[in-house]
Amino acid sequence: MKFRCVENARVDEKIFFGTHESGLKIYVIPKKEFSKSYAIYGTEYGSLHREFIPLGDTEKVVLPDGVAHFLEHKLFEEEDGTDAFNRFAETGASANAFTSFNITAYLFTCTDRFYDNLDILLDIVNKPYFTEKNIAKEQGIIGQEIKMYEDDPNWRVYFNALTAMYHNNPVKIDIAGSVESIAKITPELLYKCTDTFYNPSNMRLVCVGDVEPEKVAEFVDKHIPRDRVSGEVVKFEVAEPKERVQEYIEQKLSVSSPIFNIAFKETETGVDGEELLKREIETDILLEVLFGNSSSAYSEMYEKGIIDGSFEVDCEFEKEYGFTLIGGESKVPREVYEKVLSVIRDAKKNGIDEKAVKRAKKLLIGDNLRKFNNVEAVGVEFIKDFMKNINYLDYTETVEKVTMEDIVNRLNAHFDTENAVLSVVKPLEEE
Amino acid sequence: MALIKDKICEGVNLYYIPADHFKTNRISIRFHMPAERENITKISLLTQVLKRGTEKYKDMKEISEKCDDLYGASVGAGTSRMGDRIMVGISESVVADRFLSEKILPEAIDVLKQVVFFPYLENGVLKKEYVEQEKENLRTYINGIINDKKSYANLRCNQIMFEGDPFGISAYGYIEDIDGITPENLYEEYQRIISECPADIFISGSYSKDDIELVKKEFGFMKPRNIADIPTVLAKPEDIKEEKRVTEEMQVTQSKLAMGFRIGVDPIGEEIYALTVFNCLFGGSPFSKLFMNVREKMSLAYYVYSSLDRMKSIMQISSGIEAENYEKALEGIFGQLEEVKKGNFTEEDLEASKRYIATSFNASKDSLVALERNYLRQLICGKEEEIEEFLDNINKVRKEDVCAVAQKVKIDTIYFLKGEGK
Repeated sequence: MKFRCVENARVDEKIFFGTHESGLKIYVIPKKEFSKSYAIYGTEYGSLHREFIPLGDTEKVVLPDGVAHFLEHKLFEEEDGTDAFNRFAETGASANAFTSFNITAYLFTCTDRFYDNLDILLDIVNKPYFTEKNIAKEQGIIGQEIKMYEDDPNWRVYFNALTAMYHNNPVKIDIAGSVESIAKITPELLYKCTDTFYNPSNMRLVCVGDVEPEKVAEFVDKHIPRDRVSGEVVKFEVAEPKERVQEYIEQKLSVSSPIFNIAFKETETGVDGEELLKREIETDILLEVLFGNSSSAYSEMYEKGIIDGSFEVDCEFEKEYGFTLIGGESKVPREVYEKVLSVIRDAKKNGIDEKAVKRAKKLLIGDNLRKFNNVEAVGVEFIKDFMKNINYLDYTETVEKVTMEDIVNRLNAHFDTENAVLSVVKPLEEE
Repeated sequence: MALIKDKICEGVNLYYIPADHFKTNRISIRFHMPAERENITKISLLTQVLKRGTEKYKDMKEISEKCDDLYGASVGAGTSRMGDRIMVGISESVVADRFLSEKILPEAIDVLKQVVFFPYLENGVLKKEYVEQEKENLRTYINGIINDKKSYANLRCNQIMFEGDPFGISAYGYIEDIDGITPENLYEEYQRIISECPADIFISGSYSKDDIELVKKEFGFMKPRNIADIPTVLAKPEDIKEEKRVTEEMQVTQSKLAMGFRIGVDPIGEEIYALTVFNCLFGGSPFSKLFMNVREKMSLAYYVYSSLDRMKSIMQISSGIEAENYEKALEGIFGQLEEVKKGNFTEEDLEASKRYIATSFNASKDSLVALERNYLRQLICGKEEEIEEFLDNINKVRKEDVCAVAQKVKIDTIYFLKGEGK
């Protein structure tokens, strides 16, 4: 296999791209001056992918909730029942794994013996081993993980917002599933998932640090036969109405004061690549201009005492879904919600301040540069973006390309005040 | 990488950590003082009021606009603790000039200087409106600690364990002390801190000679002050009168267990290396005794781990469990501690722990914040030791050293936040 190199002189970073004969895409970002090296090996498979046709089958399978995450726990276990962490104990690396809506990833950070660690990582993930017994054990551990999240008010307010936004999109389903749904998991089911989603053409390997692309390729060769080429995964798209499910959703938990999320649902999904990146950047600029720390609305709400330092804005854009979240703690979430909507209506009527847009762009460019300080953050950002066909190195230039017209169009397309959602977690004793 | 030492004047040190592989530079200033109940709430409040406005940037909006213009320079302020000492820290992280078409470092230094030394004043004291708003925010913040059940349980354990000890004082402050704070007495406290407390200025990243001279010049107006000794009293096992067990109930699904142990090992003595290895092997890693047994074998928890405060010499264990498994979890945890004390672990466990420690210490070289914190801890403890030297000493730890230090680890407090389960 061959690698090609892309450089960005302004951020002083470069990246090597290559596709292994099996279909696995490999990316290497050299950072020789750092002590740490990092590898992340992931598959485009997460809680969203509930319905698919297993490779070699014709019948559609519908998975119980939480399978991708359960699988992540189980793959990190060896045939003899020992944990994969024991393998990494041999090298001193710090290893971990995570499951999101659309990615399951396995990773390690090390300061020494990178290729030994890579060898272990590729070995573990390509060697699934599931039995009735090791599944039963994991149900206890994951059961506690689920309960931990049930008590987490920030997690609950977030998922409730998703529930109020989405009718059918599986993004609203908790990633870990429920104690009941994971009880339905069997070894056969897990093997079906690994056979289908853990095939090389559905996966990516990103290495960051003092790493040589050719040497990475050698280790990939060792664990993944070049002829292990498999078909395309057949996934099903779920039709999602543009409208929200409900405007308001609330839950009571033992918290000291209310926590809220205000959400806007993206209704035009299905795009990826530069267009998706641009969409994300335009939304981020708007969020900074309208609600960022230097905005008038932020000062006004803060000085009035209806928000505090916990106030945050964020947006997430994927091929299958997209949304904006504005959240924090407030004694009067409804008042914050009304203010947010009125700021958006005003902006649509009176336009956006061009000077504020320029400032927001500088802020985004600075934040992007800052991210390169962190070897792990670079790895995670790149693998997520590659799955969306975005090259993260293009970020600065894409920010600069955004015009005032783009911003206004985005404001009108995304921030629909008639389709917004308010999710609130209230203290138990409050009415 | 090595620390370069300089000083502005008596009691105000300037430290430079050269590191040119980062995209950003960092500058921070810290004022040191003993943890004392009577002024902790004021100190905590003060860090928030300072961010509200300065002489030149009169409100938050103006400060933020300036920071955005400097490519998202971020100014943070807060209190932190090391042993029995409290530090007020204000820091700024800013993109290095070589990635930009303009030079922003001088202006960034000025923003920090404004926030620390030129707060917005009204009638010669801190602005009333800012003080009152931040009092309300602090009240909400302190009340909100309960929202994160895990850190709440850990905090309660620490409070119970160190009642009446400086280490038990909450760095966030106390609700009941908020009302008594006025713009006048807060300003008085502010002036005491900036003019009397010993201070350290750290700059880290890639600074030219001129940049360093600029920092010295910009902070050159700071007045000499006494270098006060702020000692930390070690938490010794012999001070345990009786084991404390406290259970509190709350309407939550998962119960939280927090346990505090006293060790009494000098942070700059020879035993500190064995203690560090012990913690990693016992509960500080994913191959530790606690993880492998209480989580993996007994299937009782998703998280269970131990952590050390080397300066105070305590260990804390934290876990999330079912209420009904309380006794089982304690049995599992104490059982594993006994195993380590008896030496029931392999040479391989020992070596794995050493490697894991090496990775985490070497990794700290990739973070300006971690580098600064490491040096600061060393300066406070009075023993300077580069990472390589520290790891050499870790490598010399033998099995019997781990067993010996494990004998010193004594339970003081078991706090249980009991949920109702589901």
